[in-house]
Order: sequence, then C-alpha cells, then structure tokens
Amino acid sequence: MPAPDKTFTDFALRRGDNDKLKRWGGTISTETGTPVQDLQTVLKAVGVYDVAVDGDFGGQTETAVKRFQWNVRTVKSRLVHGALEARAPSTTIKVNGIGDAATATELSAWGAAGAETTGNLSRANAASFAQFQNEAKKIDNPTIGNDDLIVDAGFLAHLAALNAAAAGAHVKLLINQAFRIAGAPVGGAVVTPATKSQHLIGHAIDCNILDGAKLINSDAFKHGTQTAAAKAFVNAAKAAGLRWGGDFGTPDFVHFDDFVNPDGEEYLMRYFFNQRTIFKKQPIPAAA
Amino acid sequence: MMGLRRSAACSVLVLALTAWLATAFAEVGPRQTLAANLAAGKPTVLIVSRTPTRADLRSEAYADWASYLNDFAEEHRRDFQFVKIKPAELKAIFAEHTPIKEPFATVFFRNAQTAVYYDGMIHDRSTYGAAASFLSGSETVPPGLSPALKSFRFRLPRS
Repeated sequence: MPAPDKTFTDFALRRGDNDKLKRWGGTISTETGTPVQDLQTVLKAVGVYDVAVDGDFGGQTETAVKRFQWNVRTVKSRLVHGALEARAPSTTIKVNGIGDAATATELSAWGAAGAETTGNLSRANAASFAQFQNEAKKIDNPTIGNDDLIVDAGFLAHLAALNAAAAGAHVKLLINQAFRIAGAPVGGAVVTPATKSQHLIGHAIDCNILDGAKLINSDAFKHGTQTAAAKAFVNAAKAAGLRWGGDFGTPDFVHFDDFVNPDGEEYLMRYFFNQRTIFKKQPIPAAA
Repeated sequence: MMGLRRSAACSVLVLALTAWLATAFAEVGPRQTLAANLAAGKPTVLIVSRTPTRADLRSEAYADWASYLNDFAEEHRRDFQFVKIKPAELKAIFAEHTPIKEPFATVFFRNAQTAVYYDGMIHDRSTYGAAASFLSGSETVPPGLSPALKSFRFRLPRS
C-alpha cells in the first residue's frame, strides 16, 4: 500500500519550496504530494492569497502566510460561512512567513471550519460619545448604520480620549471623516488620491470644533482666531497621545491620528484587511 | 502660365486646408474650457494643483484635501463643471495677476462675473458647503458666506 500524499501540515513550508522540485521545508524530499499547492489553496480560502495556486512558494505566498499569522494574532473575529464569529487572538503564532506547525495547524482548522479572515474594523456609534456629532459620509456596507463611525479597533480608545478632551474643554466635535476607502470614488477622481494615510487603515479622524454656536474651522487656527476652548481641546487631545494635523509641515487642522508607521508591517496588514472588509462588504462588528 | 496658376491654386488650397485642420483639431485647453463654460452660464470649479509629489501622496494634508475635493466633485458632478490646471497655467488663463500663491487652490466661478477662491488646501466640509451654496445660489458673494472663501476678481484674456 503506497504511502499517503504529504500535505502542508507535514512540513514547515517556506520561501523557495516548490512542488515540482519536491522541495519542502527547505530540503528535497522523496515523498509524494502537493503540499505547497494545498497550502496556497487554503490561504486562498481564508482570504489572504489572491494570485494563482501554482505550487511555488514565492514572495506572494510568504506574504499570504504572514497575513494569516498577523490576522490570527490580532483580529478578534472571523467569518464562518459569511457570519461574524468572535474569537480569541492567538498568542503562540509568530508572524514569520513560514508555514510552521502552529500556523499549519491553525490554518488547517480554519479550512475545515470554512472560516475566512476579516479586518480589524469596528463600528462605534457616534451617539455613545456625548461630545460627537457625526457628519461623516456613510460607507456603503450593510452593517453600518447612519450614526456609525468606522475605525480600526485599535483606534477606539482614541475616540474615547477625544470625547473626554472635548468634554473637558466644553466643546462639541463635528466628525467629518474616520475610515476612508482607498482610491478614487465610483465616478472617478478629479485629483489623484493619496497613497498613504492613517485614514486608510482607520487610525485617524477629521473634525471641526464647535464652541457654543461658533464653528472653529481651519482658517480660525491658521489666523490664530480660534477660541481658548478650542485650544484647550487640542492640547488635551495631544496630551492623550494623539497627533494633531495642525503641527504638520503642511498644516491639517482638522486631523487627529495615532500614527502607525506607513512603511511598517502593522500599517500594511491593517490596510490589506480593513480595505478588503469594505471592498467585500463584510460585516463589521459593533464596538464592545 | 497655366502651370504656375495651377501651382498657386494648389498652394492656396493646401494652406486653407492646413488652417482648417489646425482649427478643427486644436487642443481644447483649460482656458478655452473655462471661457466656454462661463459663456454658457455653467458654474465651474477651477482646481489649481501642482503634480503631486511622492511626499504629497504620503501627506495627511494632501490626503484630506484630495479626499474632500473628490467627494465634492462626486456629489456635484451634474451641477458644476470641474477644470484642473497647474499653477503655472494661471498666467495663461487670466489677463491679470491672481491672488493665488499656493500650489493647491480652488476657484469657484458662479458665472463670468462672480467667483470666490480659497488659496490652499480646503480641509473643511463646511467650506465646500458654502461653495456649493454660492455656486448654485446668489449672484453675488453674500457677506459672511464663509470667512474661508474670498472674492476673486478676474478678467479673462480676449481670445
């Protein structure tokens, strides 16, 4: 009786492995099977691999493995047959791009469950923040309500900090935008959209300050005619750890973010999963 | 003699044809588009923008400006015309110096007589709201419409 074909759980698959060469786990094997193809097939099923299943573990497969590893370490939900399912992030899996035992076991379980990765976005109801007034354009997604603010789950604490800063300064905030969809609007762009922004991963918010009946717009800050309360709010927000656009080389007085390095892995992962969530109209969990 | 006449007639014909082709296929530039829009009574938004640099495309200020402007255009594409130029083209479009100094600016033309402008990147939705009201509403700039928008005096060159 011939030995059963090997699959991706049998090797710590890595970059350079190739089914045709029978190179698996970094060494040439005499076994049979298509472990790299099997791995790519499951990576595709869980939504992290978008190119051809070809049995060649190259850079795209490595990136896909890293995406899966990052997702299982970070995101507190996944989709099972399209429905959100809460989960506890893994603390044992490392983001190393290798289909090691822990990764392969987790991936195999996801495949068996028919599970798919989703982003790290969260719906925060603006009404739950006493100082907020939501003026943001609604994002097209069946789970997003009219008064929902969409941010990365990692930015939720900053929404609370902004609300507290506004309460302390006795001002209201008109929220103009939080998460932003990448690229041009449906009808086309009149100017080239930016390629990098904290909004694209859900780690920024734009707002105008309302001091009583007075709207403090960018020109008020530009000309130094902002009110004392508006200044106090900005100082409190900065003290809470937020970056203010008014301090940028090209000022952006409406902007607050917590700066995730746009060239780092955290940014790239959040960009991939959060933009994909919106593109695929995946359900977004409400903030806890 | 006949040969000379024929040759002269051919030259005239070629010249006329060349002139006609040049007119027919002349590139319609932003100056012509703006003038035609205003002559036709179409409210027009003139976007002044340098070619974004790599640094621009990674800047939050640029990102916000581009996003709100694209949203505004998306929302009002049927109501207003949008024309984009580079800062260096301002001289060719207007007969006199303009107050625009920044590499990014917007001029909102209600008609051939009245316009308001913002010199710099607009980051406030309220400014676009005021601009939309201006473009679709009153013939003159209402006082206090928006402190951010200033009256734009202009003269188009005679074509």
